[in-house]
Amino acid sequence: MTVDVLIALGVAAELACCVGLVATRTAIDRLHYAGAATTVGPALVAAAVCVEEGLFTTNGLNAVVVAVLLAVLGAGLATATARAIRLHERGTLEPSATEREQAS
Amino acid sequence: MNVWLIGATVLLAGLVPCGWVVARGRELDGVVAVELASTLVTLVLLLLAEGFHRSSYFTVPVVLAALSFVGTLIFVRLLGDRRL
Repeated sequence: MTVDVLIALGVAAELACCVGLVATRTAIDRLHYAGAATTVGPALVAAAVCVEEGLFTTNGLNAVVVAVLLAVLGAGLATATARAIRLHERGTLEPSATEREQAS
Repeated sequence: MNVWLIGATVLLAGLVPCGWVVARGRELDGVVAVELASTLVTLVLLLLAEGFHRSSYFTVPVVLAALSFVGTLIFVRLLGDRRL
């Protein structure tokens, strides 16, 4: 029962991110959903595997490794992508005068 | 058909919106969609490995999680240097 709920939540989280990808218009907005998909869904699926098999088993540890890899590498990839999008749209990574005013 | 295989099959439907964005959006939108698609495929492989009860199958999502990062990063560097 617990495994079913965890899998359902993990799959639902990933599908929600897919819907968000289509629903938003700008690349930065879409990147938020791609980044969210690397954290919530994999963690829930890995938790389901660990509940089914046990944490300190080959399958359980492999699932945890996948979830951690996706979370850590996904965050790095999202940062690199955001930099590329910003450079493409603004030509610089420096904040504009308007953005500085809004931040202060 | 167990719950793992059902979850993997349902998750595959998420590739459709990713493909739509890749086909219709700009290049950087496509890169973002590829990022999401690689995450989805990694999870599908994880669910299939557990669904088939084969320990050796778990190697595939581990390798894909690492390699998809490298592959997408190359796309980002390539497109980031270009004026689109």
